[in-house]
Amino acid sequence: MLQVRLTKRLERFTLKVEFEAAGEFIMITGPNGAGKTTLLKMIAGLVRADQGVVVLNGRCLQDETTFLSPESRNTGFVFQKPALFPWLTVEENILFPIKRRDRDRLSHHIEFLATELELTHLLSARTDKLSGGEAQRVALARALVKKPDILLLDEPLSAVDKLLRPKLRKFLKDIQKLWEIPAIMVSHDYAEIHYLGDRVFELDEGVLSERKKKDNIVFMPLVSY
Amino acid sequence: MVLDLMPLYISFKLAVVTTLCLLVVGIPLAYFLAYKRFRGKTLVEAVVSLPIVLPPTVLGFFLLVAMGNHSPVGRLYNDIFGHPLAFSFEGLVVASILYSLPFAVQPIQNGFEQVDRTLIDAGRTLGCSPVGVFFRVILPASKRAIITGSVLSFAHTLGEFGVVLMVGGNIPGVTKVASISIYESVETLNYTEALVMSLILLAISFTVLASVYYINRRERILA
Repeated sequence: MLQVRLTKRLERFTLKVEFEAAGEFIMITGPNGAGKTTLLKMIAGLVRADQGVVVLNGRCLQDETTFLSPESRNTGFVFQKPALFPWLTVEENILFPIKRRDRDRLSHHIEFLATELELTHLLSARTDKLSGGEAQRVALARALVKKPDILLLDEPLSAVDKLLRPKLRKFLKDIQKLWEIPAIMVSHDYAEIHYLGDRVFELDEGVLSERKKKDNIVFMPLVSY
Repeated sequence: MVLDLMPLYISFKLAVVTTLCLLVVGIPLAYFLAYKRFRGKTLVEAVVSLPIVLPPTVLGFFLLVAMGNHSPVGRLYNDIFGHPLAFSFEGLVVASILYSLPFAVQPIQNGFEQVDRTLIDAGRTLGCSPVGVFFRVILPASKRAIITGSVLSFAHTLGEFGVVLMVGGNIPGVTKVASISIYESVETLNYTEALVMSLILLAISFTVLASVYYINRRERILA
């Protein structure tokens, strides 16, 4: 269960969000510069909110007196660009968050991710040899390898080949349901929003409003982002 | 002609020790200048860069005064180690560190500033503390800049003359470095020795710089 109530003064407006999510896939859409990435970064602890509360599974990540650092929050953050470490191989990138002593214990889990994301044949490859889709799959595996308590996805499929997107969407949905963790994903892709979103929010000028979802159709504003 | 290789050895030793010390001092300094906001940052940057524009003799003069037995630092050093800091190898190292500081700090600081912010954020969300991110993300991502800074410091120290002459003098086997040896050979009209020593220094400096350009080029292609 995730509870978020955050306020942050940005350059043009004040970002003010409040919502709860219980093991749901939350989709956030909205125009560029509306504060979507900032919202994800605030939940991850990468950006400090001016005030507010974030509680995840009963654990307070931040309030007036507490501020857990990003490394203590156990979030699975996938950025818009893969942000792979170019001096490491694919396998070393995936294992980056795992301590050496835990690697044997988690080997099944690592193998599962590599197989599901079709990375097995790329494990020893250098990251500069990867296509955009492959790199983003590695970033996904890396974010999931430590079994995060929440998924924070910032347009993770925008650079992925359109043919591959449905498969990755299904993978994300399956893993989120399997682990029963909340997921918050920023997206401009309506197909993605329809398929993945249990609930859909629109963030515009710092104001978060929920959109109705009925019979798998999201009633979106007429504005095209 | 028997060439005295001792000045060359001292120059090398000085360059190696100075470069190692500069890595220890310069990397944290470059990190603070690249990532931290603090009052007087511009002032610190100006002080670090000062040796680039300051005549070596001016820097050497101030260092000589600071290391002398009339200064608190010089007296303290003399009391602890039993010999003055000026006109010693250790004094040369201190002077060389200050003289070559901008050649180490500036490339490394530029390298740190160019590290993609998303890589740092990724490192944090993947479980690294700020110290962990420094060692596991920022340092490897700045490898080229660190190599450049090290090599420039090494080459710059190797060719040092003014500061070394002021602070170290010309004591054979202690502070007489290659550049001073060349100067002395010319003064005593021993041009052959000066030429050989100059060619050796030229070859070393050229090889070192060519290696840096080669490594940087290769890394850029790989990246």
